[in-house]
Amino acid sequence: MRGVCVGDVIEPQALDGVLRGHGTLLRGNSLVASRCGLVQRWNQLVLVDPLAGGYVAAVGHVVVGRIVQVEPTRWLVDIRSKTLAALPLSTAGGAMHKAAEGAQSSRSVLAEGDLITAEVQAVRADGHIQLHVRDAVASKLPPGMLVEVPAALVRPARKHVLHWREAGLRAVFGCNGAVWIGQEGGFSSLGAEQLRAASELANMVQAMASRGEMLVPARMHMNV
Amino acid sequence: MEYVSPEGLRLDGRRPKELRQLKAELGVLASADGSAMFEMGNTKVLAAVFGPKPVETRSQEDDKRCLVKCEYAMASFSTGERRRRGKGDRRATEITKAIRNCLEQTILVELMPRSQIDVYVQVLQADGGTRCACINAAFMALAAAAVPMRDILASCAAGYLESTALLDLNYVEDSGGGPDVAVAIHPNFDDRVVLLQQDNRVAIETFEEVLQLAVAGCRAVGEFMRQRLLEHTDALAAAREAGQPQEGAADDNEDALDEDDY
Repeated sequence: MRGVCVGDVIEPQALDGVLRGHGTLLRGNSLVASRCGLVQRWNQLVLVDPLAGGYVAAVGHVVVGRIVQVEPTRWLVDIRSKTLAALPLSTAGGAMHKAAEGAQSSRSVLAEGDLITAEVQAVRADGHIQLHVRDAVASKLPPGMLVEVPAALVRPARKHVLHWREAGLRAVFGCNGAVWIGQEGGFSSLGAEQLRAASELANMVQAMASRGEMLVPARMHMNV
Repeated sequence: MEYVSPEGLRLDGRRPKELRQLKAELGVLASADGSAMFEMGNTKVLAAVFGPKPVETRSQEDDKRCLVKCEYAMASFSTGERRRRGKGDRRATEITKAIRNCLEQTILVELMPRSQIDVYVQVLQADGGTRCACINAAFMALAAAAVPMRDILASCAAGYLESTALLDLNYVEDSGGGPDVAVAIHPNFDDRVVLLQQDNRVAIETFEEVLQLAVAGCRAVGEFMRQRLLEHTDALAAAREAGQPQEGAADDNEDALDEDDY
């Protein structure tokens, strides 16, 4: 893999046999990098892996986000991406259909400032990000700690939730670099022991992130 | 005052076509998405980039392109004579607009619809050529934030004093009463001129010479920035390599996926 800078020529002849990937642009006949990073090639596809920058949403990512606005048909969620993500009422699971029918207001389910965990359902070319949750009520995260780390350190995996049953804690590692640590089930306040354990885990996550270590929830299990 | 000595040396000992010493440091601020400290001789500028992020004022949201916001400020201790100078005065407003204009032409704004990029540039030490140093610093901070851009944005000034074209004027030469031509270019796009500003009048033949000199200076600055960005990329790649989990140990001890685990 080769490091390139903005404006560097990656492929002098790129008119055929080359697929233009992220971080590249065409200048005349040649393929040029539009950001700094490492050149990656997958068959014909050429792209520049940026190594820095914010979170870029992709379908299937588990993210931790904060509700910033409640609209009649959807919630707008800050997932630390380029644009706000939309969580439509219709994808918000069974409990939400009642709300959509006017039985209760959507704000009573999720209000501004609430933290949720959701899955990215669609990313459109115009920047729209659509989220999906199986149950809007269950997606709401109870009060806890939020640790923000570079998004590149959390890769999509089979498992994004770490259960720490001895301490009664749960941690959600969002692909957007938001790590939530809090109580397993229920919305009661944390005990002194739980708070200590939660802050230990938060410190550990922060220490690993500052060293640039990947955060793999499946492996964190052994460490705590 | 004599700006070029009979030996052909300038006040600070440079040749007429010599740049000041360039220094650049990337990632100087932890809280910014990208940041850079850029020095041209005694001129020192700090740039910080936040974003791309959702637009703060919904009415300014654009479905086609991202919003570039720019703020230029000069520290009160940055000049020899201490004076209160914030971001509000006319000079600052003009430089802000010049920088934002350059950045908007460089950033691929149509790739990030409905978002916003904030660029803050702060002059810490002023010794002539602040707007060029600011543009260079802002470009490097944007590159460090991995914002997609058309090309390198390199900027440099040139002037004309005592019948000699001088590259990269310092403060004393800048206040010498001659013309000061600030140029920014895209060096890989046939040196396309992005910014051209001039104060004081100059003969057309002289202007041509000064402009060519400034463009040559921009190219040198651009190559310097390119080298620094490549070094930075290599350092990041090495850091990422060191942080990768070891092969094999990873996934085999995963519990079965719980129903609520997503």
